[in-house]
Amino acid sequence: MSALLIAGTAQRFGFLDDFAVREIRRGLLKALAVPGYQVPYASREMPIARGFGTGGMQITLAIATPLDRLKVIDQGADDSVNAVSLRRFITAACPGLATTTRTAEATLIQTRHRVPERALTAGQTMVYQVPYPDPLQIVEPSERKRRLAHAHGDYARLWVKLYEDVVRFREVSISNRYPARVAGRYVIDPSPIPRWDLPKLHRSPVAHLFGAGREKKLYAVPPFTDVEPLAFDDVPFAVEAFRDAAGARRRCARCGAGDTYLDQIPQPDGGDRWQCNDQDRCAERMEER
Amino acid sequence: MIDRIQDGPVIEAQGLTRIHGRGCPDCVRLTGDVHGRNVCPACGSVVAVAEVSFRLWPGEILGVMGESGSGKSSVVRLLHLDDRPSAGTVRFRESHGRAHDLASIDEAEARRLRDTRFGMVHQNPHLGLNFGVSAGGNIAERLLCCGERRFHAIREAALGLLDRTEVPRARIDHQPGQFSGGMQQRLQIARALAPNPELLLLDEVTTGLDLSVQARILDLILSIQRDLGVAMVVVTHDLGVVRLLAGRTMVLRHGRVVESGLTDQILEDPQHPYTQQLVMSAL
Amino acid sequence: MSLSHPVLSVSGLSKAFTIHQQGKRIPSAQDATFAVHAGRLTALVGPSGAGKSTVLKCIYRTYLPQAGSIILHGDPPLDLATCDEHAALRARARDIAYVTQFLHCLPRQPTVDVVAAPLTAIGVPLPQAREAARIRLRELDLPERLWDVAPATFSGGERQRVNLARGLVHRPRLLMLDEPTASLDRRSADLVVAAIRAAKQAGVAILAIFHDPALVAALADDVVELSRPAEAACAA
Repeated sequence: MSALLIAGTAQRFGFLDDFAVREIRRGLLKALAVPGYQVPYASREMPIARGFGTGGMQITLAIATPLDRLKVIDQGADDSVNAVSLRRFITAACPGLATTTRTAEATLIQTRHRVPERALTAGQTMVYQVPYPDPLQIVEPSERKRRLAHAHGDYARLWVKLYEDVVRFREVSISNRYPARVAGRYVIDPSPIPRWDLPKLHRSPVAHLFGAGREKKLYAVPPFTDVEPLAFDDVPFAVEAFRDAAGARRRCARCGAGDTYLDQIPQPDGGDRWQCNDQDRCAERMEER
Repeated sequence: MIDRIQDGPVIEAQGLTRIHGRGCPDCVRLTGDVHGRNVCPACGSVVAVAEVSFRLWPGEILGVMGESGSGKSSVVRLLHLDDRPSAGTVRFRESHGRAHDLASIDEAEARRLRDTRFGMVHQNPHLGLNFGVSAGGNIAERLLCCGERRFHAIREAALGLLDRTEVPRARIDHQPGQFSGGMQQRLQIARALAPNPELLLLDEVTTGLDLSVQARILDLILSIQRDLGVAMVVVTHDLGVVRLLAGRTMVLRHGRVVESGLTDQILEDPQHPYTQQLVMSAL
Repeated sequence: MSLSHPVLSVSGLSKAFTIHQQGKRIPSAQDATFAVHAGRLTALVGPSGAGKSTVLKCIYRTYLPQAGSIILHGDPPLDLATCDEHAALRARARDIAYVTQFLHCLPRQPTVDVVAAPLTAIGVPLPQAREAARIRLRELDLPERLWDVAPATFSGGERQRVNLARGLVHRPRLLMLDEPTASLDRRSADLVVAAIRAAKQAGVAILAIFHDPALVAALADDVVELSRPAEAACAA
């Protein structure tokens, strides 16, 4: 692989050195070939601290080209501090890489906590910043034992966690990082996306790439792959209902959408305001109106 | 049950040997009861058990007697696939006829057998129970291992197992840390029984409990044998336990079987000097 | 099956105990040879120390004999002196009952379950086993109020009837009795004797030791005399 240099300088396009790019790309190929399997890799030191999205950022830097158009979101917002900082660094490291806030225009979407509301289309790539790559971490502290459990397909202790939840709350209380089985084999932690977003991964037309910088793991959900939330046959998986006291579906206070993931914002008068979490989609819909 | 004997043994162990350490060709020859040691003088390896052979039939309770260091827990570890023998074979036959050599089984198959065909009850409840989840969760884990995915079916089965082991139904959502010692052992038994195992291993399950609590657990084990006909290996240093539970008994010392036979024969007509000493000191 | 058919043939049976700690060998039974027939009662007689109980325990495999054969006739015949442990256990479960003057049973178990135990051990479902046990207990005239109580508090006569009921409940081919009426009052002893007669009538082969010569005279069809092992045999 020859280094892609930034015109007129000795600086490499994408900040990472050739070896890092090659390792991450190989890791991603393996992750796509074995859906849901956590591929270990040597996470590089980045100019931001580990735990602030270095895993997702390394994937973006390793696969971005000057032809891509990048969208970076944090909690559904393109303009939060984290999203802005990450976008600024990536564009500085990748001159020529265009950015956008519009989901439909982006080819590469780096995200923390959300999958955009607008349906993704073939050709786009999702990149997730992952704090905890292993769904078994909550039930098994030993990494060696976790790897064995994944190898043997033994997720009983994770199921016990679901059992305990149903006993205690009459439903599975996991609000985000809901464990899901990929292609009928490995169970993944889909990063802290809400339950609302999980069905969007099922047979999605795009590749979903997950990077955990601190935990040094890569994994992936290839396009058109089954992603099934773990759920009991008689206590089905359900997304957030967003119903008011009368049982009616709440709507976004700004754009009026009744089919999006809503944020609950406490108001000075003691009440709550509900509005779209995906701000760009919300803005788009208001323009459409 | 005796009538199931014609199905063939559940376990058939041949020359079971476990050497911890480098091992040498003389390890087995230079250790054992005749030498009064289980550390090989030539190479320093520890011969935990050597040349142990026995059969276990469906519905049978086999007692394994011996003092600490005699190798009785090593035998259980080998049977439960927590450890693999250095030599010898252990044939395990599932009820529908599939047989495995536990000595050479791969780790994934070992996990399947442990999860679905075996039940283990430890002396220390912390080894056998997950104290971070409820009593029901402990039982649920075993059912989930077997592929059960219906919450209400799991709940019903767990309640049934609690009834079976005389743990009050109302305690199903309590964590085992809030249970008495005897109830923890009964919960361990409930958990062990959850997948309808074909082999139940009981390692000093009544040791350290009050006599009345012991009696209740021993009664429970007997009723399980009567009702379910599961084959059991009961490891103990207590003659009273084998007298009450085991049809046959194997006496271990320095990693060797010094004597085995019908339990009443072992107790009333012991042949080996060590067994005679053991029986005499107990009576 | 003809009533004179032998159920058990013992020949050349010898048993001595070796006490390793004391370097002693204690002979107990010497060269016992006899047969027990279906529907007949064979009484073992002889002075104390002749090894009468030892012979019963060898047949039951509680003792391991040094020499001789103990053939339980059947298809195939089984040598209880040398057969493997499981064959011995199976013979115990199906063919042989052994009733001593003591009732050995699990503590805390109701009488009806004590009696039903030999049936549940061979796979009879508990309700049927209990029903059969109740029939036996009624035959032996054990008061019905005692059936659901553990036998720990029973009188000697009551216990012995429970013992015999348990011995007969699974219809064994061979019944061994070791002083079944010892220390019983007259009425209890009569009930036990009647039960023994009934078993004989039903074709059970019985091998018995009685402390009372009158019972031997009254019940025995065959008498086998054992003598104390010779001193010469005592050398270790």
